[in-house]
Amino acid sequence: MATSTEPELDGDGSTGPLSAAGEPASTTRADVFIYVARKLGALVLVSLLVATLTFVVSRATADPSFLMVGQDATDEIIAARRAEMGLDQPMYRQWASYMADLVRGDLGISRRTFAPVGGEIWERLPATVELAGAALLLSLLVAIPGGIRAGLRPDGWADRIVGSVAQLGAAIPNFWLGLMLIYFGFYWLGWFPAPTGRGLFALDSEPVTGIVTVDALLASDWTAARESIWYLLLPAVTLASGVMPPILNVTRNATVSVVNSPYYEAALSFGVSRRVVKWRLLLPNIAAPVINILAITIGFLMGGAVLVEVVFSWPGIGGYAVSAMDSSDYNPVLGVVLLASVTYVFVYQIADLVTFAMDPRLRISR
Amino acid sequence: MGEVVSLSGARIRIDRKGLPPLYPVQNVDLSVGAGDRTALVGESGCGKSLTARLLTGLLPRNAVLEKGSATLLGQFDLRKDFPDGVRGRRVAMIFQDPVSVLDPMAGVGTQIGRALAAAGVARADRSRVAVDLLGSLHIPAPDEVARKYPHQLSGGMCQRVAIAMALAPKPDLLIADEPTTSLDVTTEVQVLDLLEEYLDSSGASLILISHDLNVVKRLAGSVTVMYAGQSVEYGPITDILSEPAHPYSRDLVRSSVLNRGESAYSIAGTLPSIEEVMPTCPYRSRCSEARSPCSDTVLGQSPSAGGFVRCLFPVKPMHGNGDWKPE
Amino acid sequence: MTVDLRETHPLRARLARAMVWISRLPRLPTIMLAITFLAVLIGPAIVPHDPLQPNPANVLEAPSSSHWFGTNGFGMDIFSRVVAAARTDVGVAVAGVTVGAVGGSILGATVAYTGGWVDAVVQKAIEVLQSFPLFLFALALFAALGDNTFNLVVVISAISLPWYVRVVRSVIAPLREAEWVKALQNAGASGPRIVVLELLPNATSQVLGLFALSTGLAIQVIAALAFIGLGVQPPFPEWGSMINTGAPFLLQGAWWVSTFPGVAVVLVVISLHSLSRFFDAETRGIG
Repeated sequence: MATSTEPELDGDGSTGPLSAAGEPASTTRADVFIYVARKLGALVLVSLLVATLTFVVSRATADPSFLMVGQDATDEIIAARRAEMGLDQPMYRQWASYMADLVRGDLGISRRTFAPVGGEIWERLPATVELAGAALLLSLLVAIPGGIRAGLRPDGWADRIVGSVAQLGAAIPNFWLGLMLIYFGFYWLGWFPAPTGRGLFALDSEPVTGIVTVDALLASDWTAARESIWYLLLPAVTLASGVMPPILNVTRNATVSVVNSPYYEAALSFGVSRRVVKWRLLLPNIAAPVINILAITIGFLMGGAVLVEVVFSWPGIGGYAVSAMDSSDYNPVLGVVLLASVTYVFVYQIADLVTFAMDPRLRISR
Repeated sequence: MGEVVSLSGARIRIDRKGLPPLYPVQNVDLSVGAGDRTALVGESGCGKSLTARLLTGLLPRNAVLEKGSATLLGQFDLRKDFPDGVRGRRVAMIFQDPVSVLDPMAGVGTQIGRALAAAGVARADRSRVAVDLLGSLHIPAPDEVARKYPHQLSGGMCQRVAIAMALAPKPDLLIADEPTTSLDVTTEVQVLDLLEEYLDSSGASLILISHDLNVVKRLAGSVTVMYAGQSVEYGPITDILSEPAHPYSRDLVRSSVLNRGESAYSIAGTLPSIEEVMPTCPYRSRCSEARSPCSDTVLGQSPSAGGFVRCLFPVKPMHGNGDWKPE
Repeated sequence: MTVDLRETHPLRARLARAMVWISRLPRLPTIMLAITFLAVLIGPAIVPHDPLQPNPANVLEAPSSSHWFGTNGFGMDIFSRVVAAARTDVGVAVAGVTVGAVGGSILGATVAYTGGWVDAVVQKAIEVLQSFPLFLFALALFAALGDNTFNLVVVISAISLPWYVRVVRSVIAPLREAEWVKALQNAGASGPRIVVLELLPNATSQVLGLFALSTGLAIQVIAALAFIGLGVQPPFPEWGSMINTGAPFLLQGAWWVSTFPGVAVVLVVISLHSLSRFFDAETRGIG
């Protein structure tokens, strides 16, 4: 696979069924079943391990402040509170009840609001999904055509521009870029609204998805849609700047390797038009690495969104985690971390299955 | 139609970033008439494949025809942009590695359909024509093959599919770059039969690139011997194989597996650098016949029986006939 | 010429080879990193103003000849602070990444050499660790360990370690079955000896490339954490926290407070990335 510029984004080392089995003449139904089962097994196992890690962290933070008993609590009060919270139980029991809680969607109680963390995250999730979705859309619109254009002519002018953009995007801290955009877009030009979160003032209709832009469009409320997009634009551009470079690099490198492949040259020699070569031959052949990097990107968006939400006062789960961190309220932090990680694991494995289903070399042959 | 291919003094330069340019093709003369079947032979790295890519408009982006003239199908000047509608329709190419030249993500029928679209076959007829085409290449159960993907086919079958795509538009010139090198002996015979059948029925011309003189002998009527980007000898196949004029041709024939009875012979020394254009004989450092004038005489062609040779001291007596072309 | 030297005089040959190699380094990034290195070493001693000295008379002054990058909300000289912060950011990043690199390389080489279930377990563990978005992983670690500068180093080593395990493992795993390794085993060389002295050096250029890359990433993480108030605390000079303290002033038009520390981050990180790409190209050139 073409690797991206950042090590945490270079995919996992797992091999597809192709490399495991050498070059199978055909894949049988049983092989496919085993492959899918193994992927699902890995999904469950990794999710379980991720949750175990957050469990360990949650126990490490189990100091008196975590117990919510106040500064001058006596030993008896602390012991009673520990028993109440199950902290006097053996570790494996604590682990089991932690897992059982998670399955029920119980992420514990916030120390500041005394409200269940699961509910608070659920309320804020649409804002983050809106921001991350917009950033992903922007990245795709720029990075895929840009990467293909660059890869079609390596070392051409487009490739140089794309290379510089990718380099710069990977080096610029996105919280700083966000501030610079606010300075130019809001203070200097006055074109964009103040960084005060989402534009949800104009929407009259009942929320359907909670994602303001989508709701406004669903209700055909164009004023609200325009306003919410206006508020969304700068944060989305900021977040996109961080996730675009790997997509650009992977798309570009995948395109280069297809363009240099014998089958690309052969198709041209058979007189196949450049249009058909580009759409019918190039696109399916770069799909697998691009889908892979998109899955990794979706995982990265959750982490990257944290700082962008802080900068733009975006009312999502990232800003929620940071303000909880400020007051040593760790359940919300761990809840967000867990959600982001499990989302990543799911998306990544699903992307793997999608590329598997797309590749004729891995499909069932009759 | 007169000449299908006419190269004269062709030189190709490859530019490299931060490095001196390469001249893999330095001085190539090649003339192919309608219906001619000619072969390019020489060690790997002598410029054969790049010459073929010049003729199909598939030179790498950093390569240019720097010097000499090149005319395709009697009317297209290859110093300009490669003409539209020629590639695939009038000039087609068959490649060495048949498995990797097929799109791994598309079915065989679909791929042949793309080539048929380029040849102007209507969309509705493509799948039928594709199956007919496979059938005409003696492929058993062609409709089944058309539904398969390249990875499900053997190398020989892939080569036949590639040949089907190349022959679909009935090209006037077929360029075959080591078409049977990656195939086993039985398949090789079948593929050569297919090519011969097409050439016989269509009257198309053939440029065969091969290091295997057995294959060359089977298909080609004439041979151009290439060394270090230069065409050093051209002549009828029988002459080149039995009494070559250029010392390199002699050594090449001697080292080939053609002469199974003789002990294995290999040419000592290595190919010269292609970082500069060599006006003098490129073979002199390895040549048993080399004498002092070889290192400072700029070579032209001398005529030989039905061809030419580029050598000051040819190893067989020269005839006076043939068209003599001064450099 | 170098070849002759090597035959006659190994040390001089090595020096000559090193010189040739240095001359091939990408110029601008190397100069930028040399300046950064100088700032780390002697920066605080040569800056024009005390980076921690507030000056109520000069609050939020625009860049001028006396304050090249202007002053912040306390009247501290921003240029001096940007230079002094190099020691914090680069120092913590290099310290953390070095721990991660040494630990990760040894672990990666060991599991690659051992193979079997140890290898499988470590690989799975790495996969789990890398399922956490980088920044959120750092947050969770801070939550577990507590917020101070020592833990910042721990966090940086913890997030960089898995990269080294993976890269070193992938370079060395194919060597496990090599003839020369078997020969060493037969000759009675101990496992640790083979791993550290014979196998690890094969991954040198990959580790160097990764070191440049991960130091850049570490600087970004340190700045990001400080931006939300974790790790290095103001008024101690640090690029991320300087960007944060400047944020409110942006809306008053005082752009210089946040801008310059950000530019410093971009320049240093982009130089490290170029250097890393140079090492990668070297690796591909050799291999």
